[in-house]
Amino acid sequence: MAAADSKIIFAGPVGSGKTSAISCLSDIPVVSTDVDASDETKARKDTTTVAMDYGFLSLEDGTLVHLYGTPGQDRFDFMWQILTEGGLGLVLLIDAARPDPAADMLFYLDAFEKFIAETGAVIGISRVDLSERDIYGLLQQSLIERGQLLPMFEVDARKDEDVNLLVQTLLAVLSAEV
Amino acid sequence: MDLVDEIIKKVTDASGEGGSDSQADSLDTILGALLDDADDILGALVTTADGLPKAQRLPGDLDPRRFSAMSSALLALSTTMAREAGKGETMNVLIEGKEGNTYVMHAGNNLVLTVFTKIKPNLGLTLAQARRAADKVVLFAREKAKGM
Repeated sequence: MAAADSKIIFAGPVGSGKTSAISCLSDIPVVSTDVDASDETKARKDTTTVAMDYGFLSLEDGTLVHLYGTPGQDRFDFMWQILTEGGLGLVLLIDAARPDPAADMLFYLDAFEKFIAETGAVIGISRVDLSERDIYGLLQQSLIERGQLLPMFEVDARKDEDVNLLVQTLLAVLSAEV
Repeated sequence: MDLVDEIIKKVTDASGEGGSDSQADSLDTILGALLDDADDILGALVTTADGLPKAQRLPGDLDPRRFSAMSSALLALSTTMAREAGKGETMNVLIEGKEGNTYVMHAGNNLVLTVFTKIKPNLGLTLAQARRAADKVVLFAREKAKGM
């Protein structure tokens, strides 16, 4: 990949770890827009992102990877549009502990379909330890049925090396496509 | 800032409310009164800080759900920006459009008031009227919290 800065978008349902992922990767304190949650989110956590998260990561070759997190709730889909503008690829985080992770994945793949088609995506499955089901297998099956193959990892969105793996994989996928 | 405060005071005094009226108006009444009193204000919306509609008086076919989400996103991002730039607490966000203004302001910690004006409104007056309505919303929320 040429030595140009890149912009990566993090998407996925509320509570899947988008803000955490960006926080643990970013070289700077994350620009966050968390407010008190009043919707169903409240059952899981106190606050929720309503506009965006922003941080950046400098790679060894000196280029910057700008990291943008999107709000999870679909009422904020206008922010998805705004934030993907000029983006290089998508990290989709899926929460394994939600009732229907496969439906969540398909929803966001549909919502970001055009962006993913033009760029690329990787999927991280978070909170796997809180689910007794084989979510990895379930999501793989769902992807196969959809006819879309994407790199997929089980991750802890609070762990540097896990999130780094997602971003490095995405960058590798993107540079292979060029 | 002083001018705005002065206008707020004048508008508040001129409204001639019956002394210390402790009974908080309902959100719908507050918005209705705002639109009745303020000639330049065409629409108003109260939302939660995380973007869910609570009450609205919107013109035309504006979707309250969509504008609620946008209001919270705008205010949250503006608040973050002003804070990080050392500009302190955000009072309101002011969008000047060629066809009218939009104000988004905090109404306490958990509610947001958004107001749409007509083309070329009286800036100071409409801001003051909106701020006064926001203060009423705060009062309403406080009364409601007490009642719970």
